[in-house]
Amino acid sequence: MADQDEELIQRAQQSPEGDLRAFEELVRKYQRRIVANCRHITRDPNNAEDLAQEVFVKAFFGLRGFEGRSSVRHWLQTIKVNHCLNHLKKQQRATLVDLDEEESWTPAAAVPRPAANGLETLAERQIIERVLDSMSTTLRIPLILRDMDDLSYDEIANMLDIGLSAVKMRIKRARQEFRERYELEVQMNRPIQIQL
Amino acid sequence: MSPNPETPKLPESDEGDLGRPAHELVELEQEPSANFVPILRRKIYRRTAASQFVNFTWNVPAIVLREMLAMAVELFKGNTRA
Repeated sequence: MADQDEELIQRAQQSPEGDLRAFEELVRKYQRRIVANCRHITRDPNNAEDLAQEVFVKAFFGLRGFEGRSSVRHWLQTIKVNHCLNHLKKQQRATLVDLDEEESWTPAAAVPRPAANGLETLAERQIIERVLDSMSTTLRIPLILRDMDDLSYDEIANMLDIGLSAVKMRIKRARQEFRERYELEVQMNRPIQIQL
Repeated sequence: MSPNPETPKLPESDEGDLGRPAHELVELEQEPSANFVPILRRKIYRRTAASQFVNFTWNVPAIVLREMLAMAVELFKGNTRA
């Protein structure tokens, strides 16, 4: 898979200006992941696609600078995380909202339950989204960078500009919080079994 | 949420007892709208056009100036030969 990515990158780098075919293959491969990631880092479903597109635009204009020292996936992740964090900082400046503030959270007892067939994964995704949305930015972002993006603790510390021990502490707390809230949400959303 | 062979495999436990990784996040994906790629294509074309325009407006005066200097030099050389 990594070889296929490198081949696509080489084709995109060598293609004449205006020929986006090789790059678009790369976009189609990673778009779902990048959109989901932008949505959860910024907690902004309305702007997630816009942000993801800007990430790909940056990647396209940075193609010539890509030397292959890291994998394509990792390179895209770095662009995406930096772009989303900048977006959050801009938002923070505009609204003067404290990003560290704790959000109040109540389990979604009233969330409509999808029928118990092929929609199970959709329901699970909704639960994950709800849990992530309920977490504070301080805990949510390190958790996403570690468990969704698979970045190292050092990379997370550099990106968030905090110490390594702070990153580890936040990830530990975030995992605990995620687990507790996720399990509670799953219990609340379990389909009711009617015995006849 | 379809399994992706590219998604990393998280270990059961991390170094230093940092808790169980949230495996649920590994395969979390979101299908973008159908016009995601066409819009992206337009954004790239627009930015390419803008950068070409900037290049053009930056380089053309320099080229014109260089040509005028070359003409002046040639004229001066012609005059001294005569």
